[in-house]
Amino acid sequence: MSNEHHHGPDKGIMRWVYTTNHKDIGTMYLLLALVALLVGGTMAFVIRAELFQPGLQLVDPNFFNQMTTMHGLIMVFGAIMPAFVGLANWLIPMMIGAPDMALPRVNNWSFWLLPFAFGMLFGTLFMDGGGPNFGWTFYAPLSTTYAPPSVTFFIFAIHIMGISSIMGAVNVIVTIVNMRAPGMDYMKMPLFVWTWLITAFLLIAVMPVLAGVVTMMLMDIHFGTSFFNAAGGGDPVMFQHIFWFFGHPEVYIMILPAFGIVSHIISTFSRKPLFGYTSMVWATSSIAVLSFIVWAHHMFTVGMPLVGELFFMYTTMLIAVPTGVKVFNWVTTMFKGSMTFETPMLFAIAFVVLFTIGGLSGIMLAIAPADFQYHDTYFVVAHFHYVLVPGALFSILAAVYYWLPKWCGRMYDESLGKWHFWMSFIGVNITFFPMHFVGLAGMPRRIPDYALQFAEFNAVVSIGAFIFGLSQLIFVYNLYKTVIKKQGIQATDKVWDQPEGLEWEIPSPAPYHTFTEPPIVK
Amino acid sequence: MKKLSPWKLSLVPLAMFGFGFALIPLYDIFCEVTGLNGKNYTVMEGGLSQEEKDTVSTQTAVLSFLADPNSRDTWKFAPELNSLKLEAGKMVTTYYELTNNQDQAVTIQAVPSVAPGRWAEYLVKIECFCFTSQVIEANSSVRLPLQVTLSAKAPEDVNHLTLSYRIYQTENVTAL
Repeated sequence: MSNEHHHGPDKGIMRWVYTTNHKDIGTMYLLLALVALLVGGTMAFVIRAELFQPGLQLVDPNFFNQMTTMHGLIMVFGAIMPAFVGLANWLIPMMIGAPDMALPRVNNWSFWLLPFAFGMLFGTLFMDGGGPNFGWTFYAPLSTTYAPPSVTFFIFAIHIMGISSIMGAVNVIVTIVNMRAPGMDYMKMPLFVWTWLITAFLLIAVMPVLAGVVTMMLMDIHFGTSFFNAAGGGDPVMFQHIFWFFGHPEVYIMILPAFGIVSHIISTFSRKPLFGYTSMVWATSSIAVLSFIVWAHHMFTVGMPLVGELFFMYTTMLIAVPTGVKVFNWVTTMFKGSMTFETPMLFAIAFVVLFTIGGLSGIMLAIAPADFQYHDTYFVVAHFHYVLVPGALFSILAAVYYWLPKWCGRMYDESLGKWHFWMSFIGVNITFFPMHFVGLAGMPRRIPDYALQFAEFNAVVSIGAFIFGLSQLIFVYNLYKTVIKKQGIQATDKVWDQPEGLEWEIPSPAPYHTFTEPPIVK
Repeated sequence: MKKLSPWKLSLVPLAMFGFGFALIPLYDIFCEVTGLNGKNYTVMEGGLSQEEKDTVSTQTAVLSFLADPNSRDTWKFAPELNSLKLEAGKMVTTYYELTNNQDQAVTIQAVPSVAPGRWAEYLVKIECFCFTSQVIEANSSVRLPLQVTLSAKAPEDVNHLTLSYRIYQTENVTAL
């Protein structure tokens, strides 16, 4: 009886409720992220449909504001972050030769908190006064004095997902520190594991600050405190400082694991070991450290003294150095490599090119005097979408294509994969590149209507957005075909041509329990 | 090998939650040290300190007054004088006038700011309507008193100061 118990998963729905298996939990995280991506994408459709033409056509401005707010919140906290946690769950134990995560029950709880957090957040849209309409950055006093009554539910949703993230991060750190296979030194760890270790430290450092700032909002709204209320001696600018003390490390939380993923993929499909492994580790660490001292570059226009502007400008520009190290390492890995261009590699190369565009517009925004012009315009929207969509999201898609054969034992449909890539690549650029131009020309962000001279570019942007959004359905169909319909050829254990890493030493599909005996790493 | 305990690691997020709240006093200290925000003027309720009286100085500076009514509110708010000359150790009293055109009484709190921030400490307030919140009756005007002087400790290059007030309507908030 007790022998049988450990052979496979339970049957039925309760398998997923009770599971403590890192592979099951990883799958659930990834599915949650996919659902959030589609929900957040639908909200983007509402935004782009309204902006297709100048004037107010489809939705009223308050609902438009709710859409921009919820789109941001759901994509950041519901799509990108859970997708990376899902990948961490699937891959970290397999990459370090561990049988599971260190805290399997905590792992189960971290996941199951999320559907409730997002259910509550999504539910605010149907409450009196509507959902959060103050932007995903929820600046006070918009989110306190002038917020809709549903803001309390928003605050608790943030609390719950924060607890989930913190527990997930503690789990990742403890797993990596304690459960590496014998012989796997820190400097032998795969880069995805390294980047996630650093990300997890960022998470446990800044998610509690986010929890703190929403707690202060809660107290201002319900308990008569004046943290952000000037009349009572507080300061609304303080909100921005505390929020961005969380917010800037947060943007690296959403990109560091992506750096790990593309490092693996580019190395495999260039058939060369990664160039500059050690410098990659140091670059990632220095980006993480710098992320704590640059937050006020998000608020150059609040009225800072010159010394402050200069400090935050120079430290921000300093981040370009380790980031440049990474980009050059990827390019050098490809240099003279025997490259092939399967779907994961296409997404990884697009990541390098398009993320660099996003990084360079970031440098433009870092220049304090120029930022006064760019602040709160579509240029900022173009910048962070370039680093988050063809950056973080493309890396996640690349990772799913790259490791899916290992997870489910079948190859995905390569031609559908290529269709997905090219449609996404074209769509993403049509969507976000013209935003640079309308932004530089002065179109403000978060508005439901705009001046007539922006009409043509906005129509183009909306068409691009529909192409990009709909092409994600190719991905969903490809997953359905491969995983549910079980079409596609059987994957070999190695899957690709000589990939590096312990996860390729186990059979495809990966058995329910792997590395119950730790492998020896030489 | 010594294992990392998840309980010990959990102290980090716990400490960072506290750090989030600690940022508030830390920012106050930072502003006090650097003079940012123009809030570190000197308050001497009930008259000048002995130390101020003992210091001899003939320093003067022009003090300009600004009024910054909240655009969402309906009252009129203006200083009686645009500027006056401050002499070290000599107290001057001036007034701001505030008119409430609404049909109900309102409670307001004035929040001051002094520019340039690095000289704010040399502005000495003996009495100010910003020390407490004020009730303004419906459809009435009030003269809000302000008694200030220049600190005798002000260095010679302190030749001008600007004092601005912003008015906030308050409901049950405790003023600092």
